[in-house]
Amino acid sequence: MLADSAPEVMIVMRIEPDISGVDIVLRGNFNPAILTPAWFAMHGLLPGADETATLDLATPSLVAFSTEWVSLHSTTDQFQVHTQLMPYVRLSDLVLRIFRERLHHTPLSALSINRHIHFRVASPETRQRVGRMLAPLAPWTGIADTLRLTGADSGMLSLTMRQSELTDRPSGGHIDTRVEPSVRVGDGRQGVYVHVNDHYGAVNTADGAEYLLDLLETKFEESLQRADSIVNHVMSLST
Amino acid sequence: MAPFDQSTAAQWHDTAADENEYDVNTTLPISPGVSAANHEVERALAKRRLADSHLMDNSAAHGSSVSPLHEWNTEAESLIVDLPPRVTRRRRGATLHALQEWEGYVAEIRHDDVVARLTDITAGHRYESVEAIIPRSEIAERDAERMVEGSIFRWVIGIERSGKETVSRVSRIVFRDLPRMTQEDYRRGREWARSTMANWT
Repeated sequence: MLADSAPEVMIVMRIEPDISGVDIVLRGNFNPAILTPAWFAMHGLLPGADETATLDLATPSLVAFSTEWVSLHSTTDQFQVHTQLMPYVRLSDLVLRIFRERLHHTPLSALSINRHIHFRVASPETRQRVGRMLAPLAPWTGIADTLRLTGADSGMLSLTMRQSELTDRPSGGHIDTRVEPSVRVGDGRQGVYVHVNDHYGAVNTADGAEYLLDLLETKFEESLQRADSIVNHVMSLST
Repeated sequence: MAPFDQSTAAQWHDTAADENEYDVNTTLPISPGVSAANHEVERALAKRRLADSHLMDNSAAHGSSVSPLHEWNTEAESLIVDLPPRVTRRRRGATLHALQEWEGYVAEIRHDDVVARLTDITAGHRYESVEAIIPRSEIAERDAERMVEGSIFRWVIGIERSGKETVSRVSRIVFRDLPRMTQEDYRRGREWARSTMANWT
């Protein structure tokens, strides 16, 4: 039987993404100097990382490395892990092991579960149509010509929608959905990028870290499922 | 908390390991339109490198600093151009997007295969509904060595994209490294049990 965090029906996206990934970001007080591949390998968190990881940077205030399936980046106040390879749940497993087994005294103040996807639409005109739906030109009547908003390469550059009245988290949390033209797929003309930022702030208590880790454990897959349904909705605008 | 925007993410992903790595710090002699002289240029370059190393050794030994370039004034030497180093560029990591995902646990370990019970995540099931026999060859060696009855894994079947050219359908079994129960977990569990019992007495 699956844990309580098991999702409802998995969203099957109507457009297969070109690039699809998940980040877990934590705010708190971290010590990047210890978060090296060797440390992860020594503690069995990323076996073999000391031999196979690509270490990009390791200083007392910043560390960045990547393995076959995960990339890690940490400063003194922000810790981030990223993967583009499913199953995404192992990213959550890794973070929980780090901060429950090894760094359980680390103060944490906020958690974000981010989903980001690049997908291709049928044509540049299709992409522009999606942009016009999300950011119509009608309100710009009168200055559209002055701003040259009707050109082929003009229009919406970025749009973020925020949902903040959420009952499943402390106040201060939100879900932000950002839609932009993709700079990574579609040769700059046919790609769409969607980023869903699911943000949880901790209440200011002594056990804030444990509270956030409990949220990560119980909400992670639900958060991804919700993000996928949002992405799927944006995809539906292009079909 | 501001997430990475996609341009930052693009830089971030530039650091992902990849096989498309260029050599860095390559100094190339170039002689466009003077192809017949390339041979001479290469020899002059090799000569200069050797002389540079000798001069450095001599400078260190005798305390003098002599610019190596003062020693050379050949026509071939003048054709050598030191280009700035090419930046190593690694292709961004692959993406595996699932078409089907199960969570399973090992029910029985046999010599050549493993019996597993699976829960269909894609269909939103919460209880195992399928029993599968998985050849041991499908399981990574490291996982096969560590798995025991009860080990939990995820089985993903999907499309893996790597760059613009490579698209493949893959099947991947990943055993979950779940957080271990800590003393703190046991303490909280006992605390919860005590408080629950207190509500009933």
